[in-house]
Amino acid sequence: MGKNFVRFKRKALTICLVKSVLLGLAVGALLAGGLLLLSNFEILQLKPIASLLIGLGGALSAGTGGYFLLRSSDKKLARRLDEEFALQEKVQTMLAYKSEEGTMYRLQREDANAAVASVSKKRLKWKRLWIYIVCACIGAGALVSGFLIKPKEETPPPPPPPTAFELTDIQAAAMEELILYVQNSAMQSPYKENVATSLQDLLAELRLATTMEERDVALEKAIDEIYEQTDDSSTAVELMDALWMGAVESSSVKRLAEALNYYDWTKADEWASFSEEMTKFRSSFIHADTVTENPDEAKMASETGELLGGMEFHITNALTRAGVSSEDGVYEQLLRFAQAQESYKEGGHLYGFTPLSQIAEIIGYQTLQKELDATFAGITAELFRGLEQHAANTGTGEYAMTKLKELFGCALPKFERPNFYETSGDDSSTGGEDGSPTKPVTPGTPVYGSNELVLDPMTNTYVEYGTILDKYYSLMFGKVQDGDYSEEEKEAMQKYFEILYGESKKEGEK
Amino acid sequence: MSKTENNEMEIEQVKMFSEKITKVREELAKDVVGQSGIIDNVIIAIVAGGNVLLEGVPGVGKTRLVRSLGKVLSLPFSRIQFTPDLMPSDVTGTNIVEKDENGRLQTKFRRGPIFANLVLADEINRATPKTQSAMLEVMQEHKVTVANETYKIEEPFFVLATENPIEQDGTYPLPEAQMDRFMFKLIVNFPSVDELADIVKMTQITMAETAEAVITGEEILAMRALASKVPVIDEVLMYAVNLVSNTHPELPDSCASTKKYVKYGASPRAAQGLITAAKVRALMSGRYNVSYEDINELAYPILRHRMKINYTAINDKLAIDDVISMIIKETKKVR
Repeated sequence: MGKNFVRFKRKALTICLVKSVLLGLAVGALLAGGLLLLSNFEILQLKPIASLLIGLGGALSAGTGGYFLLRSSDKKLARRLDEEFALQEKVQTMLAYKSEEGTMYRLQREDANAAVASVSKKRLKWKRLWIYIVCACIGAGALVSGFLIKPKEETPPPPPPPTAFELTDIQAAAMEELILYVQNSAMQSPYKENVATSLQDLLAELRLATTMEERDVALEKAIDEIYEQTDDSSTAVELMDALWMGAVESSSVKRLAEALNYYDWTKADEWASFSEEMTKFRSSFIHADTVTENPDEAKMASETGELLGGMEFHITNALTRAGVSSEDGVYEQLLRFAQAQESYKEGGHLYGFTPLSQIAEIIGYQTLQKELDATFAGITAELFRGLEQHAANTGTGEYAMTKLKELFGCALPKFERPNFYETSGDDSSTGGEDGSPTKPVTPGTPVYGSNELVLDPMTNTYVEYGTILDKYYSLMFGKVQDGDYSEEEKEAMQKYFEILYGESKKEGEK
Repeated sequence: MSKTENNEMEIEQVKMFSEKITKVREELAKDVVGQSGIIDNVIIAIVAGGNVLLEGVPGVGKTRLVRSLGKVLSLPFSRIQFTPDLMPSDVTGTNIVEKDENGRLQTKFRRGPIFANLVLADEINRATPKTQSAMLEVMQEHKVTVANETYKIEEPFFVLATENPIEQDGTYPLPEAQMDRFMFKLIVNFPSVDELADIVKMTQITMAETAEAVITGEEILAMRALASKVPVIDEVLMYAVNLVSNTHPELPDSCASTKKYVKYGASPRAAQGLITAAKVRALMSGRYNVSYEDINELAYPILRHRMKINYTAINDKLAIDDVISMIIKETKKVR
């Protein structure tokens, strides 16, 4: 290989190195600049030094890669020289046969060397060097931009000028209508009065308000007050405890206690025990045929057992649906009223069919059955009446707040309101750990036991409880009129029926 | 002979090559006005050992060129005027019956005009194919077979044929096999006005050729051997091969122009001829290697009689040289 060719080789290497350096600089600066910009605009979380180091790495990689890509092999360079300087393949031939011996080859090499020597080294062009320079400039620009361009700090917008407010006639009329609605609602006192007062105060303040700010302050205050009033009665557990306390004071619970007064409550100190004992109690009736030879007694006992089972289910179901978790409290109330009965004998143990048959002998089997049924119906009705009241309370409050929002276009304050009707998603009949209801109670849900039929042994058909009770009452009343009972018996019977009918019926009779 | 002596001799041969070529050119220029391209190509063919077909209208100096060449080369020269009644034996020679010294009859082979080093086959297309075919063996193998006897022809041997492209009546187009045996087909064009004036002036003095012998047969053989040593890089060699391959429309990789305009392509002799002639051309140009330019320049005389264009080309008013130009353009250099 001639020295002239080596001359061009050096030049080609220089070109390659310069281009590689420019390429490395372009890529590195572009990378670093881009990363800096991305970091400035918080798209990436990189420190400036990290961006620069990554850029440096990119520059080294691109430079090295560029060198290997751009460097010319001897063959490539020979071809380039032949093509660019029209050397008629002399250089390529020289390179191809550089180690061949022979006069012709030697002459060819000399000829090629002379041809290469005749070409100035400066004529070897820096092909497309401008592209690399432009790329490097772009990279430098990106790097400078990365240091200079920062996101504009957002200045808070100026506060809006106060806007005027004037209560319109339509808004005032709607407010008055809303107050009337609350006053006529089924909401419980004193919440109803409190909510109505809050609304009246709001109306008065709105009449005086001149700016939107004043309006909003008044509205927020009123809504908070309404929410507090509504929220006072909306804790499910408290509500149901209160309802239960009311229920156990009622005659219905007393009737239940009477019916169960022979039961050894001292043994049942937990709700689970209560259920267990109830089951045993019921079983004793169901399997009465094993302890009695009288088929009629066995049949009655079995039916009574089923009734007790149904009652247990109904009570459990109703309490669970109502969210009552304090079973001990229930039990204690029941026990208290049982003990209040004269027929209760402490420590008295009553097993099997016989004791209840004695009760049946005293008050009549049908009566006992009806008593048990009505007791449950009374309790559940009380509970659901309470729930309806609760719904009325919360519904009215929410309606009032929603109406205010519609009227004045303001957002309701954020608050956590326990939704009594909300489904928890758990479809089981048992309550959750916190005692919250797990089954939805919605308006229109039938009250269990209120419309159940009872068996009339005389006709052997199922009739409504009210009908048969009236029939018995008529019979008793006729016998009392006939003087079949002593004054003491008459009074006992009167009291008994009063218990069965309940207060409302008694009032109706009166 | 030592290596150094051998080298020196080769250097001398190289020098002699240039000198001889220059002298041949100068001598031919005495008799032939202009036509330098034709003269160079004829010299290339002679050094490369190829036959030449000269095509041109009457009076453009084809025959004169060959006659002058016969003088310059200082080689036995014979001329065969091809006519329709020319028989193969008129070309190759024949066995004749004659009496020997004792008066006994015996057959003796009388050599035809083909037994020369430089043969001018004038108006070759006027002979019948039968007579034309008599040239096949001698043109390719440089030997003649008559009556089962083969006679070798002395080297160097060249056939320089002429033909007239205009007068087609009573002519017989040369068969492809014979065409392929011509290394070059050279088109002798009508001279320019200045050249024509020179021709007229020159022939007013004398019609006879004035060129003198400047080169011998041995020297031509030595020049041929020297030219064969000119190196060719693989890229150029493959370019020549691809160029010839590209003339074949039936090949899948042939270029678009070939597929469109070429009826059939050149034979492998074309590729051989390209490289051989290119080496001579390189040396004649003072180069010691073959270049793409050599291949491209020689592609026309080497390919134009070996391939045939189709009617699409004729319809598009394209001559064979136009199609060759297209193929050259479309043939990529090997990288």
